[in-house]
Amino acid sequence: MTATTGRAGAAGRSGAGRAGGRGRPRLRRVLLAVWLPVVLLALWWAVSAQSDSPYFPPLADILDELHDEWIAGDATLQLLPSLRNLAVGFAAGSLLGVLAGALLWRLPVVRRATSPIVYFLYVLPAPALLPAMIALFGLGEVRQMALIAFGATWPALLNTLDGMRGIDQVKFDTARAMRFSGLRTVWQVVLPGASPQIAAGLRAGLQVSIILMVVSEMVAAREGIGYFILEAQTVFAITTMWTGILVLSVVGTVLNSAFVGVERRVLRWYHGSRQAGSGAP
Amino acid sequence: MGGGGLDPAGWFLGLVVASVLAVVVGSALAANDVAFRSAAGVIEVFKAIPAIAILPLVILVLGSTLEMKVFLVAFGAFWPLVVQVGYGVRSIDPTVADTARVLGVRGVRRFLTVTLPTASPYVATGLRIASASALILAVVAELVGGAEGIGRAILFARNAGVSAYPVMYAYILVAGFLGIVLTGLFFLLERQGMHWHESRRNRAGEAGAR
Repeated sequence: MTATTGRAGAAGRSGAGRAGGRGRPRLRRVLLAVWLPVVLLALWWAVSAQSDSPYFPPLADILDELHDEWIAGDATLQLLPSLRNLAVGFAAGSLLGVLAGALLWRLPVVRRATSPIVYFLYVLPAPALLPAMIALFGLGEVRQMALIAFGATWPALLNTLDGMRGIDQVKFDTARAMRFSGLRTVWQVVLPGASPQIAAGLRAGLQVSIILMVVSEMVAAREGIGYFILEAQTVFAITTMWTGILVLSVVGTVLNSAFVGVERRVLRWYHGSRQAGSGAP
Repeated sequence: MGGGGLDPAGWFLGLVVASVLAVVVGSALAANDVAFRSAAGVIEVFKAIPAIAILPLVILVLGSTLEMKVFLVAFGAFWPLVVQVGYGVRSIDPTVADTARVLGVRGVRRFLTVTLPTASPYVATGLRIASASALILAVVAELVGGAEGIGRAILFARNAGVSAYPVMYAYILVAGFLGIVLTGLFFLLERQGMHWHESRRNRAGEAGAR
């Protein structure tokens, strides 16, 4: 059972470290990173200005509508239930996944017995469960949180298990020789050893959670950002729909980068050691 | 009950389109340092955008069709893949690059004999990871967008009322097995197909022992 979401991510990161160009002046780096998005936005503005396609309204109109709906209007209220469901569901699912992963790591018999089921639930595309969840829990927010939690659990569980199994046995022997207490072993050996992989699992879980948040609002809900977008599409308010798409894109981007930011801070020692190590063949 | 079959075609075509585009765009960008760094930010932003955000727009433009499903899946898979390809191509061994230059290997031939083999394990890993989220997006396209496939079949069964619930659960089970088969396929592809690559040679035994 090796569902390692982490390996590729780690490969990408060490590559990023190498391509980082530490010696270059900061200004040049910022300019290089910024010019293309600016050009693309300007291009979008210019090309769409004369657009009479109903699906692709001028960017100027979209921005106007964005102001009316999200800054002057109260569309932001749609975001609050979404984010609340996401936060509760993701936190519950991640916690459950990490705890269950740790438990399965300690109990090899249970692990072997449950691994087919766990793997099945991990690869089961979670949105497929949505209709069953509606049948079971009705349309309320409990169902939405439950679905998000379900989606977040399995990547967290499998990556926790994988990360903990990957810890060098010598470290445990050392901890025992130094008479570490159980709690101290967990705190100083298990958690640091498994945390890069756990973080990768949580990152994958966050992406699934965002999808599930939106899907469950699109299929059956009366509020939320997903409902807002699909409702606008249904009544053919295309410009309004575009504002929803933009807001959801920004929210998704901010959530993902916030997670990566926290991850980098918490795991700074790990990335530091990887970069130092990657110099040697 | 209606809605019928499994129809993994959208999922498969979407992944094919995404990987072909990602390999072409990724290697082109990786060949030039300025281009690579300029595009990196844009790609990171698009990668972070949840693909499902554009679903209602895609439904409007393409309708409840196979094309809609393919587009959504390809959009979701392309961004992480192109990042993988970019780093994969840039991970090339300097000796290999120099050798290719000395031997005068250029253009298409260089792409086929040097660039592709270098990047392939990265693409394989990227594909294995993207395949899972692609399956999720395909199901979403069926569930919300009404494209034909297992997601729509599940929804139809639920809407048909309590008597059809066994059918609904049966389809959910099938979706799970589909997930096992499809992700298992990529897992095997990665292990069997990449055993020759430098980065895998020493790891082969370890992977087998697990």
